[in-house]
Amino acid sequence: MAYEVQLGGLSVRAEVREQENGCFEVVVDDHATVVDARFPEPGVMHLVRDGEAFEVDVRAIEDGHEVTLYGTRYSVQVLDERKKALRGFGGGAGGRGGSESIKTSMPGKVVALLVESGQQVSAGQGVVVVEAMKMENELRATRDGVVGTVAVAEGDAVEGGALLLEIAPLDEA
Amino acid sequence: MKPNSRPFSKVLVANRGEIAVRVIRGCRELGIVPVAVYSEADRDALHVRQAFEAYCVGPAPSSESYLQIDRILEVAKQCGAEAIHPGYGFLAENATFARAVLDAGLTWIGPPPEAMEVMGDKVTARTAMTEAGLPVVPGTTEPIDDDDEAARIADEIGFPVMVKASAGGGGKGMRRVNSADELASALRGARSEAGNAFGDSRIYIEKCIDNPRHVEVQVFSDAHGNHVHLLERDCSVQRRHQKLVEESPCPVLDQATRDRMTQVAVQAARAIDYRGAGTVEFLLAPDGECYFLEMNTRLQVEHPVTELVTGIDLVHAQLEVAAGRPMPFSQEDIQCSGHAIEVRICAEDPADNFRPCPGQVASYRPPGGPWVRVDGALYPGYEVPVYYDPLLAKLIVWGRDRAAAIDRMKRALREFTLTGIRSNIPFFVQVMRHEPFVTGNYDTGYVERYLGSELRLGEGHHVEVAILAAAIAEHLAERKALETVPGPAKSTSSWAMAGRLKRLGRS
Repeated sequence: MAYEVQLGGLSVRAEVREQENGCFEVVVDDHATVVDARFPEPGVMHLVRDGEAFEVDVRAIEDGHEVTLYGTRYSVQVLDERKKALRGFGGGAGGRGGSESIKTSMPGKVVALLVESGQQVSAGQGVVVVEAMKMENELRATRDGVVGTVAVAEGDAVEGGALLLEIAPLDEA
Repeated sequence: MKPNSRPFSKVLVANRGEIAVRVIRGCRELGIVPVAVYSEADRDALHVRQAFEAYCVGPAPSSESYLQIDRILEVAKQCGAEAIHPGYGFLAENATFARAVLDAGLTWIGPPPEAMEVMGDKVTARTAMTEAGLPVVPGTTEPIDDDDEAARIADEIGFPVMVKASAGGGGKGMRRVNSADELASALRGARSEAGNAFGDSRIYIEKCIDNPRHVEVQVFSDAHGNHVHLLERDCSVQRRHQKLVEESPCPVLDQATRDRMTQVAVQAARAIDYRGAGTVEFLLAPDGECYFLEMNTRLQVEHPVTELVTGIDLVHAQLEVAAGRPMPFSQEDIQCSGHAIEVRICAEDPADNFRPCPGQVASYRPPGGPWVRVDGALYPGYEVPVYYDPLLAKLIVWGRDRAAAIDRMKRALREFTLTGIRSNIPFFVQVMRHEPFVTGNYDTGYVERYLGSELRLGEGHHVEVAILAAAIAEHLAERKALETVPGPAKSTSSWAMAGRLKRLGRS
């Protein structure tokens, strides 16, 4: 499959083909590399490329993978044609986007809801406070909008990645 | 008494996490039956799995379980434990608990409650230590009204000084004064600011200690009047008073200062009739002066670095002296050999302001090889609970000198596999190769100073490898997604792929 791969300011086209022997041929901007990739443990990828060996941690993130090796963490966006198209649609037309989902990245407890459904919020405004590991974290709206669905109540225990509430853009509300 | 007889037959460990595992190990080595207590959230915790007996003491919040004095004592009596080891944190420095243990006719593996009380209060500790002849940060704790008197005192202490609000806090009413001619305006400003903020404009003066290091001395005492020190640890790599890296010996301490510091630490222990393991903390100023900060009346998180350079097992020694025996070593026996470094591996994301990251451990393979020690409470599949502090494991290495210890730590960190949750391991990789740390040129401001710049988990040299890895991971994830859609049978090779995907642990 072919992807647009973005890392920092860098953007390349990468195509991955599986070979008969289980190795992968990865063509990055017309330059082909053969990689023997194995997964010895959950979340761990071991690569051998021209005899050079690397062990990296790989973790799925939104629109890509987080790759950690030797103390450096790379957030790599990997987009196929479909995701790219979705992205172009969402990001176009004068900054109009879909709803913003406020999610918690860690499991914890909802200690305070700072807004209610139908309330107008502005970018940067705190909307919900989640407690995990003795620390309280205030989650904020990243843009102006109107609070739509509120999926949780104060005191709820939530899983990592859980949707807490949604914020619709002003002109769609 | 036979030298090899065990000090106790059964000990209750009133703690959780890595320190409970550490104490249980010490008990088992001495032939003592270890008893674990656990909260409802910790049923699957490693300390419960490694104990010989285990009792639930309440719901997940520590206030309803690990801090329940009555419940813990009830368990101790029912199971026939003779002594209680509190670890660190929770009830370890709670004199009320220590007294309750003693009143119940059990042995408290810690100092006498009176010693805990003296050191538990900053003001009484400072007074007691001043009387014992320890250096404290020079200054007046009594408020000063008169400007001339303030000038005289500031001159006596020596500039720079800090003018601080008596009712102070949060940096309000605080002024740094570099020279005599700045004093009058600083006094005026601090008084008015303090008055506005606290309704109390009284101020006092203290010596300003810029860029201090945090150096502490391990002391050890028994009930027979023996007090020794086990050298020092440097714990200056810290963030918001949370220690991150500790090492022994301190890389910049000259022998004269070390002698002075260790001697006054022993003096402090003697002054309060201390017993067991304790730590006397100092601020070490760049000019080599040291000042008493506080005393921790318990085993420290960072005790393993001392164990590695002295060869003394502090938990064994705690158990021995708690049973009333003389300590199994003398000051002459305690020699520093080589260098040890510890890093505290926490479920925190260093790329996101050290945000806590609880969750489920996917893979866990701690480093091994020569002179590498891991004190942890992890295993693959373990769910890190959200209720307790984020310390997961301590990685401690020894080297014949500091450079060898740093090289070994770099090696061990690269060997450490911990996936499923984010940890601060990548941060320590950065620290171990960061020039100010490598040269020992750091102080308590080190982390804040470099966190956003040189210690950032920034661009590395393996961009290409990262791109290859991410592209292959995405390819396999999409293959997996396709395979889960019901459809025509696939080629046999998907068996191999399914196995790989399973091991990759992707959802």
